[in-house]
Amino acid sequence: MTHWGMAIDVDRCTGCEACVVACHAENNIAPAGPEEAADGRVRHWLRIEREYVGEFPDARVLFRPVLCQHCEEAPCEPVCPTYATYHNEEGLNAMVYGRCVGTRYCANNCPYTVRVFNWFEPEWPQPLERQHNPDVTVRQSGVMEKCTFCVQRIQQGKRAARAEDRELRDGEIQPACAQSCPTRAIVFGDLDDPHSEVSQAFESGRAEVLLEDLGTRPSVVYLRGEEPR
Amino acid sequence: MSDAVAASATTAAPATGPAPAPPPEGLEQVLLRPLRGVRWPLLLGSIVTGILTVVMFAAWGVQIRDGLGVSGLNRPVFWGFYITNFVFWIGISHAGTLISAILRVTQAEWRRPITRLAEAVTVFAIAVGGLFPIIHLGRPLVFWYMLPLPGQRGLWPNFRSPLAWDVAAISTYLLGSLLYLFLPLIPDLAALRDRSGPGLRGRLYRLLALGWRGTQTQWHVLEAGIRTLAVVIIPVAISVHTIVSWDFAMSQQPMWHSTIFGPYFVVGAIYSGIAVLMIAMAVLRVAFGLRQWLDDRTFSHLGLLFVAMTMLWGYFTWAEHLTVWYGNHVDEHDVFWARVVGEFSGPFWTMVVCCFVVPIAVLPWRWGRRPLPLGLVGASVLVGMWLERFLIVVPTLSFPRLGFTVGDYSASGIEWAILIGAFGLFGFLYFGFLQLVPIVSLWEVREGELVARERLASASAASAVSAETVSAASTIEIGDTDEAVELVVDDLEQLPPLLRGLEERGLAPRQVEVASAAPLPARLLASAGGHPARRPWLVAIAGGLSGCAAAVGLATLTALDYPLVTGGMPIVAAPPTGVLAFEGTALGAIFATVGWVLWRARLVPGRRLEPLREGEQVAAGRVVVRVRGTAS
Repeated sequence: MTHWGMAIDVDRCTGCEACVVACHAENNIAPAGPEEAADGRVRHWLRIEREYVGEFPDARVLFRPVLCQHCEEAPCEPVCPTYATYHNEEGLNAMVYGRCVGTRYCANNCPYTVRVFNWFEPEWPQPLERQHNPDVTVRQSGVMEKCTFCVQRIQQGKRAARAEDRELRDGEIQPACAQSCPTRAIVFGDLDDPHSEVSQAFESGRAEVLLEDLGTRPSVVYLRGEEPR
Repeated sequence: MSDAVAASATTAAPATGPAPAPPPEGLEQVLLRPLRGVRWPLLLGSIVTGILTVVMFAAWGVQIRDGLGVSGLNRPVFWGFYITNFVFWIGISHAGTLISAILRVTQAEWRRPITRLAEAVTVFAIAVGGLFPIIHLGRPLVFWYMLPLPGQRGLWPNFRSPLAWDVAAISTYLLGSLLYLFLPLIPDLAALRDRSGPGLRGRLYRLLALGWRGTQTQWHVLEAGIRTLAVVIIPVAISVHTIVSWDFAMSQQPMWHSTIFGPYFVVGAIYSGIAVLMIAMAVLRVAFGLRQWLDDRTFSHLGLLFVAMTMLWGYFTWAEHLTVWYGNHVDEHDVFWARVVGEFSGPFWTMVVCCFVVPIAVLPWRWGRRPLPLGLVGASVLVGMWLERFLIVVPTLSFPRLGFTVGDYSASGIEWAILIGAFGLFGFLYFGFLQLVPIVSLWEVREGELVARERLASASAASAVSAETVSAASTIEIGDTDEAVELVVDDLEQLPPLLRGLEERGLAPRQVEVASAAPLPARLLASAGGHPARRPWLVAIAGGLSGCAAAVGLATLTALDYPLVTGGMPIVAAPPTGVLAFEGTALGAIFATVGWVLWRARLVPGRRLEPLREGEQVAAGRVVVRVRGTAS
């Protein structure tokens, strides 16, 4: 089996937000525009949170990209009345847009506040419409969405491997955020493979989990504490 | 026409009878007035509330066309006015059925004038409240995805979700309350049928009265059914608001995840429900001239009940906030202080004043429990209870745990229009109901008068028997065909000798049928018409067990057939199944009881009785004895 996971090195992250832009482009996320953004309706599946550590003069800012944590015991899943969000066998917290009726209960019950709602029909300023990703559905008004770990890339990778009749190689599948990260702060891979880079990162001793005491068992860890490798 | 009949019946009342209660016709005339012709205040009320209803649906239409973005909702405040309104209206719905059921089960005599107006509040409040979960959806046009409708769509509801429990609980409560309103309405519909002509109204009453005749068997069955239904509906009402609270309590969010929420919500629901009841009673008393039945004593009783509810509400609110303050949990800290001294402190302290200070200051005094102050206190509590629900929904969502996104919610014009329009919709439905049926149950008040009369009569049971009665019993022609003879009895005290006389002539009990406008006391009936009804609670239990099995089966088998994992729960999760089993049990018991009533009282097609020739006499408050020939 496969269990997809991600390790994000906050010591490496420079907060450049390339991942945010890449995520928008890859996943056909419409920009909210300044007015909607001011109303709290930005649609980022991935946001950079700031955290200040240390005392002056030894203070510094940590940047923490926060995305769907793909929790093993996700609070968002059981509250959905239509199974629009559920857990698949590869550890993904999956969204089925067609089933979603827009109760927004999942978003309320997400302690990480990473779910995004389509308040209106999505619109793209020209010429952004021309760079839509044909592998990703455009979500309609009234539907919930969130980070999918770039499930379309996972499917492509698996298809390619099957066509060549081989196993997936570690690091072969890269979500858009990991691919675009200039400091290689984001590592993605299979947690069930003990030799994968992401498994090593999970075991490195630098890994910590957001809001661990809630017992949601996220598939995303944040690495910090030692100097960057 | 009925006025003339009623007048003659009053004059025909015998002097020999033991102290008759005030003639029932007075109530009837008062209550039937709004059902005849055009009443300007009612019409005006319908127009004003109708306009508000149109405003509400127009606003909703705009929202459906443009998207939920026309509201003020955002991330992280995903729920706002609509969910507040949902909890508010479902809360109000607890007035009627619950209060009426408790008063019926305890046989409180002062219930009689208020049960129907309370039950109607329930039905219309659920209808309005039940709209809000749909209004609040992102895709309201596919709300039926949440219903278990088999089809080719590959869709099935997730019974682990509290929202699926909501669907089950609210539909059970709506159906149960509707039937609980309808069963006691049948005799009054029959009375209206017998008094109205062949017009549209007459046809409607004829359709809804289900061929009710008013025989003693029918009364017996109906009353047993209503009593059983009252017992079943009390736990349903409690479960409904508990499940509404669980929409919040099942989450992990600060100040939502709380075991106190179930009882806290139920208490708040009954509290706001009684508030609406008091307002409705105060208004109806003046508007309809019901001073004699909705008397000061009834208001005072309700006022005292309301003081108790104020105390309970205060206790729960105090307990909730004290534990949070003392526990001082880091997650709850922001929400708590925002409510008490921060940006939500305005609504918070307004709530405390409206829901606690005002009732406690006014109600202990005798003048405070008069209708007008009571209605005003009710309005104050309504404002407070709406704020309470708002304060539960919005502050929690405004302070997410990670603290990077902070909520800033203010409702849009669309949300305000729907909030105000909902009151219009409720009023519109209620005004329509007022123009269709008597708002005080005629037969139940009549029965109350009979009960009071019996208490006086039991001392001097043997009253003078007129010679006419005895001769009527011995001289009527009874053929050997199915033809029936109908005797009109003016004076109730003449009924026992008449029945005895018929019995002495060798007529079987099933040949003699006594029809009346209210159940008659057993003393008057001898053996006639006293067919003992089988125990309805056995039927209710059987229905409940089948309903329980059906619900467990539905939840379990479909989960196995649709095995998606959510939140690490097992595919068949026992605790959520238990919630559904409860609602299934209740629904089964309700259906079985109502089915039993309809079948045993012969109100279903194919078993209906043909109408009495003297039906109008029954409607006018007299008793008709129908004697059937020997052939059948």
